[in-house]
Amino acid sequence: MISKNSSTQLPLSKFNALWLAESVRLLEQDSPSNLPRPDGLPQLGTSPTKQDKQHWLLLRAYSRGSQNGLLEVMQSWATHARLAFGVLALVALISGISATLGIFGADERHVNVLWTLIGLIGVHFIALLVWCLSALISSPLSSGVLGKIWFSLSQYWGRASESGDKQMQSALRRALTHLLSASGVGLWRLRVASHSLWLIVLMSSLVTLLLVLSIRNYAFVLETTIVAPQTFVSLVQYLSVLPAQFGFVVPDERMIAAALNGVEQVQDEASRRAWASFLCGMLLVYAILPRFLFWLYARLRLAQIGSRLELNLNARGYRDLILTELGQSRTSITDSAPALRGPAQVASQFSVSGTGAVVFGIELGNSAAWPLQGLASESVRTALEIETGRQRVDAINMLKGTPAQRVLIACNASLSPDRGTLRWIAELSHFSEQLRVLLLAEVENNSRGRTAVWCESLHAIGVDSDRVFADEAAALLWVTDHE
Amino acid sequence: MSKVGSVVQVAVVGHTNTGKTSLLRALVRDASFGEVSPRPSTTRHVELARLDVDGEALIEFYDTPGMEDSISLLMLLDDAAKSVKHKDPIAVIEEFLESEMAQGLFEQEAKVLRQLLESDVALYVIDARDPVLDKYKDELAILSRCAIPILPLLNFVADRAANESQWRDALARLGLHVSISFDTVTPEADGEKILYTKLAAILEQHADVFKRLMDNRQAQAIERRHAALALLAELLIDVAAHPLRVRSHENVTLAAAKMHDKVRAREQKCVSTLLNLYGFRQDDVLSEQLQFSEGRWEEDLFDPATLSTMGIKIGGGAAAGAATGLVIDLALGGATLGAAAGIGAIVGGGAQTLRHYGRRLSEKLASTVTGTKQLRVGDEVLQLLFTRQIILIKALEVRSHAAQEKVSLLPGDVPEVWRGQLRKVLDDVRLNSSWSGMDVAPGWSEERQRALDAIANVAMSAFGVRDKNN
Repeated sequence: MISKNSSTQLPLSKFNALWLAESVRLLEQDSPSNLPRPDGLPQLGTSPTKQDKQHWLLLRAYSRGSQNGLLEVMQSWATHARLAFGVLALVALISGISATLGIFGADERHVNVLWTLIGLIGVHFIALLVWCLSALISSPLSSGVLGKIWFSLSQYWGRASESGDKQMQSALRRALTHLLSASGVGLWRLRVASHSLWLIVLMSSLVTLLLVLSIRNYAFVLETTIVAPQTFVSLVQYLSVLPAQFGFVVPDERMIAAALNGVEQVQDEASRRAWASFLCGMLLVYAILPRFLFWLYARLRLAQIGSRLELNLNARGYRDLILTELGQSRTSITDSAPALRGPAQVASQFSVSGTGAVVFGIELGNSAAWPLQGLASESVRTALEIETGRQRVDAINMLKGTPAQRVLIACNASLSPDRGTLRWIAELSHFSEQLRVLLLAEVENNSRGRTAVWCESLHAIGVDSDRVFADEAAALLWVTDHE
Repeated sequence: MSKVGSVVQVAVVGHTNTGKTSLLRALVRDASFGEVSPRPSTTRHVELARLDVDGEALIEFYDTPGMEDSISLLMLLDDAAKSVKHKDPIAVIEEFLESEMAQGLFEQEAKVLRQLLESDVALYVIDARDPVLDKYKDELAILSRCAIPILPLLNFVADRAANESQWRDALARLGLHVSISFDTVTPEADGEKILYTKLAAILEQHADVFKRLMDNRQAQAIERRHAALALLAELLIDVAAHPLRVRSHENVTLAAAKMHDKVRAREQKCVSTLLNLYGFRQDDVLSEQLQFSEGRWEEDLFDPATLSTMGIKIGGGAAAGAATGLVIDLALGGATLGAAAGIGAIVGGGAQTLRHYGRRLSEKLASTVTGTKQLRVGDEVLQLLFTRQIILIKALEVRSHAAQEKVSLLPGDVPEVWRGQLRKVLDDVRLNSSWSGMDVAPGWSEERQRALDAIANVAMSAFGVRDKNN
């Protein structure tokens, strides 16, 4: 049993370990060769559990991958993916900061609350809404545009820096595709990446906002040309309900009215603080919080799917490896064939002198072909049906007593000739001057075409084809001595 | 009866040429196991075939040589038993195995008996077309002295000439009331399940092993079908997305011929992967058993006659002559655009529709600028590819690994599911040249994955609803 101690622990993430194992399997399947067992690979043990087997296969793939360079190529791919993410994260960071700074402007001392709000969370809000909708109707956009960009970028860079040979590249790509298709891993990975990048944008936005608010002094105004002032009051109050639950200070009616009065009035300290808190609360509650929840959910789903990911131990490559490791191949010859032994031979003719003719019908069952018609001849001593061992012995004993001049054996050619029957025929020949065989092919059905097989077998015991009748009439002529 | 862990050891025994090796081929789903021929005594050794779950051997089948001289052997054993009275039948067998006869005349039978003494159960294979002969009864008499349960298995019961009832009668008289009909060449859909159920009933202490095996077999059957349909989907996407760009001065006939070859080779690859997946051999199955010639589909993919025999009409979009089956991608038909830009399309998949026409427009522009024509494999050929793989997969699913005869692929089996859903998917696929794996393995993308799943789903419906409950 493999203990999962540090010596057998893989220095790879589970996903990468599976990816490597799958690539190794594809590579070995493409060019099968009897590879030696990698050095230092721990024993699988005698009665391994499913987990043991999987862990062993992952360890084996790691050993093989580090030997043939596949591991290196894979890690370079993984590095490119991380690099791509890093670059995008940087871009996200910069966008978050610059967007916020852009809204607040360099010289502006008056902040239009609603305008700023739209600037801070508007774009994100629309993006989130589109994503939610596309996830609901499960359109291809549901993995998130940013996630797609990340994946394309990492693939593009991975391809541009092609390392390793073509076969390895192809195996890695196929294995990755395979793994990503499995129960939505790819989709959820992209979603996590998408949400992460958005979170970076939003968080950097928040930090910048706090920074700007803490080192500069702003007056907050609400401006309108056509909307009634009361609308603003209720709008701000409605929007504040949720942030207030989280402890954010929200502007009261007086502050809203004051803000509506515009820049002419000097804002008091409390108002400024309330408006600043309002903006932060809005960003946090209406942008960061939902995005974070989606991110968390995607993370959990990915972890859940990831924990269920496993090698398909039924795949032939894996099965064979495990069987071999356990010392059991799928098939093997456990008791080899005996040396070919020459079959019993019929006696050379005329070794005895006999009288009359004897006809045997062997294993003809209840067929209509037996008894043979037209045997009523003086020369035919008897016609016997042979099936049991007793009958065989009796027949031999009868001929031992009085050998026959002619023996005709009618065989059922729809059966397979077997060694026992052939041996009996060979034995009979010792007590007859001449022995011939009639193959009754029309017995029941001849769909099995075994006449040729009979001829071969008979030839092997010394009954040549000129002593084999396929035609009943000719056999009758011979046995009744009317040739 | 030795026990190695909980591995069940099953000896497959019987007269020569009754299909023991064929039975094992069918059970282990491996058409290359052992050697099969119409001749008697083809198998003269004992060969082991393991059935495993997740790499853990559960059942070991032992393919044994045929019994060929049971009459003489039974007489020999009877004589031996008479000489020493009240002897345990197994002791008589063991004594025989030590004797010279067991090294000589009865070497083949001795191998069978040795294996029987080691096994938990014997499957006695009967060619049900044979009459119930005395020598077979003698075989059963010998086997019964090895003191392990015997399950008679009637092979070739599907044949007209089978004497199934006579055999069952005769077996009952010998005290063998449980038997099974299992045609190795055309087994019934649940034949394997019945076999294992009966074995489990006989070997009660191992019932859990058979349960595990049956569950695994069922899971594997489903897994195999999914894998097969995924291969089919890959084939269609590879072919549909693959563009043939012809410059105006190039020879279209030549380019099209090259494209034809590529598509044929790709289909061939799919066929051989499918054969591999289902455990059939490439060489004999391809050239003889399926209607291929020299490893190809006999009917040519791009022959209009083939298309029409498969019930597919060549539409107006298909180019005639040299470029048969390839469609010149003259994208922007006013009518199509008008219809697709309807309200429904915008609500349903606005972004997709836009992207769709965006791509078409850019392709059209590119081809105008560079003076190239873009050719793609037409619907008719894709439909034919789809249909043929479905027919092949269906045939392989029910095909026994003991079968030697050709699979007859009737044109009447054309699934009707194609037209609507699949065409919609493939229209989108055609616009994504990067999805095609004809030249390089394509990377993963969610859209390609969705297209693959969509095609596999359509294909799955060709197998009926029954499978969803599995």
